[in-house]
Amino acid sequence: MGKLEDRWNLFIQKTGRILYRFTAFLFSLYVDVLLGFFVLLAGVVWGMRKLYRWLRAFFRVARALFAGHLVTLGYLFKPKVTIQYPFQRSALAPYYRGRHYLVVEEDTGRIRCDGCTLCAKICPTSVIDVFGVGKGEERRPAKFTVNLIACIFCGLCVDICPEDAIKMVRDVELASPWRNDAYEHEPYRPNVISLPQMMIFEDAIYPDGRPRNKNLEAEAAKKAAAAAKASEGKVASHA
Amino acid sequence: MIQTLQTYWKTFPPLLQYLIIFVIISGVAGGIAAYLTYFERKVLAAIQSRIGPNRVGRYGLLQPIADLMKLLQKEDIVPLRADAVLFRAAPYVVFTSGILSLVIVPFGKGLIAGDLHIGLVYLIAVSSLTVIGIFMAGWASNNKYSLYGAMRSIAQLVSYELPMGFALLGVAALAGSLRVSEIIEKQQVIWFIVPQFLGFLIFLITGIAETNRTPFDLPEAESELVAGFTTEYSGIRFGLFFAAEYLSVFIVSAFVTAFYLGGWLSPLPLPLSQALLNLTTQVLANMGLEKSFLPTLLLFNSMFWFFLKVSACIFLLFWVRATLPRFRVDQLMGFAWKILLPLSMLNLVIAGLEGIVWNLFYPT
Repeated sequence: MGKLEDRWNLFIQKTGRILYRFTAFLFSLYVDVLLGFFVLLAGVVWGMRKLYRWLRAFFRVARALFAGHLVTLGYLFKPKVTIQYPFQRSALAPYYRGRHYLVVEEDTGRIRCDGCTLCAKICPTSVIDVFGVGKGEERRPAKFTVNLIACIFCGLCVDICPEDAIKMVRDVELASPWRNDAYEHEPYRPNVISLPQMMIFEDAIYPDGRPRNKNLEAEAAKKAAAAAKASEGKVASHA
Repeated sequence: MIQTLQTYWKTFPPLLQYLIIFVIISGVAGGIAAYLTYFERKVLAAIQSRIGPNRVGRYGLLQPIADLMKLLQKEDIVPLRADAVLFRAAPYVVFTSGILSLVIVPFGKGLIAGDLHIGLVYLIAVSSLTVIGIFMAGWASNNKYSLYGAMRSIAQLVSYELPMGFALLGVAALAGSLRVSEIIEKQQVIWFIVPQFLGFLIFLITGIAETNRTPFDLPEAESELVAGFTTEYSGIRFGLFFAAEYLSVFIVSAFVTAFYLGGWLSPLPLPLSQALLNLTTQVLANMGLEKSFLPTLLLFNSMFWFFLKVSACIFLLFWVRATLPRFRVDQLMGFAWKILLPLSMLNLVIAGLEGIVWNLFYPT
């Protein structure tokens, strides 16, 4: 044991050190907490941002999925586009260029074609094979075949024909079990047309080759009827 | 009617009972698989503005039978360098795992082949068996496309098992049971789709993934892998894979119904359904039927609601197939591990909180 003064000094020294350390500890704690708070804040902000972006993407995807499913559900209730071919047929255009046929004169019963071979000459794919026999008015094709495999159905033969002897029907059923039918197809003459083809033929064209449009015909009939009515009314009013 | 059947049933020897159950279950499985193909073709066709099968029978109703006949007549080819035993066995493994899941499907009140007390665990265990069959098929085919398909399938099935299991845990936590019938009876308060909507979505998505269907049909992606693990299969063996796919569609729909849509429970409010039932019994009594017909009536009622809900679910699956394109492989795995798995864990937490609230109102 030293003097009282020494002991006092020692006490002061020790207490001072403890106080200093305690204060330093408190200060460091304060700094830590402050820093930690900011770090935590930054982390929370970052995390919220990330969560927000994730949720936004999630709901976008969910909304897109929902919308897509609604679209497909809408198609469930729309009418079907299928045409069940042999039983239903799609409408062909009134001037549709299908299978060829040779026009027959109604009074004489003979085909109009005189075998001039203009159609064979203009044909861009050279599929028409004509061989005319006879002189003058009596000249008729001994052979008239069309290669339907190579034909492009351009209709130039119909346009070029000076006698209006070759026409095209709205017949698209060109399939055949025999290849020669297609390679050397003999165009229809109306007297050898079988019944269902005849129906297509009748529907498509008048006997003289003019294309027939049932809608136009019906409209014309309606107009005529209306005109007749109007004239009747006029007559009545005049009277 | 049911009582008399039960008395007869008890006189049968066990082996005969098993045989009858087996025949019924296989018939049901085959029939379901066959007619789901028809249903899917019709739904897809309608969504694509087509008509669908309508040639065989009225409205094409005999089309599945015609397809089955065709598959049966076709040559059963085993590739030269294939592992013949594995190759032949694989379709049976895949199809059998489907039939095994059918054991705990609750077709109606009391109409479960085996109401196991660990039904949920059994379902998860059995539905993973498909992987083995698929890998057998892919490996034995000795074909790179088959192998790719099989490996993709395994990666996919194993990944999607996890979220599915977590989603089912939520159901088990709310129901307080693993038995399928008890889970359904617990939903008399409220269908689990309401408290467990997230779990429902996860189960539905993982279910579609488990069935290997679009948008998860990477194992048999025809534009990438010819036909995946079924590339080398022909005839009825291919048909078995096909049937197994549609059977698993039914099973997924059945369990979505059982776990989230109230199974065989009627969606009508209780007084209304009770009044309807009274009315029906009255009408039946007037027609001269005995009072003992009531249990049968209840059974048919529950079956009706079950099959209605299952049909809606199946339609939903077909609708999804008609709408969504296929996943990319990396997206597929990322989706399972990075999105579905965390979400399913979140769902489990939600289920726990809901279980606390549930126990406040309906203490067990």
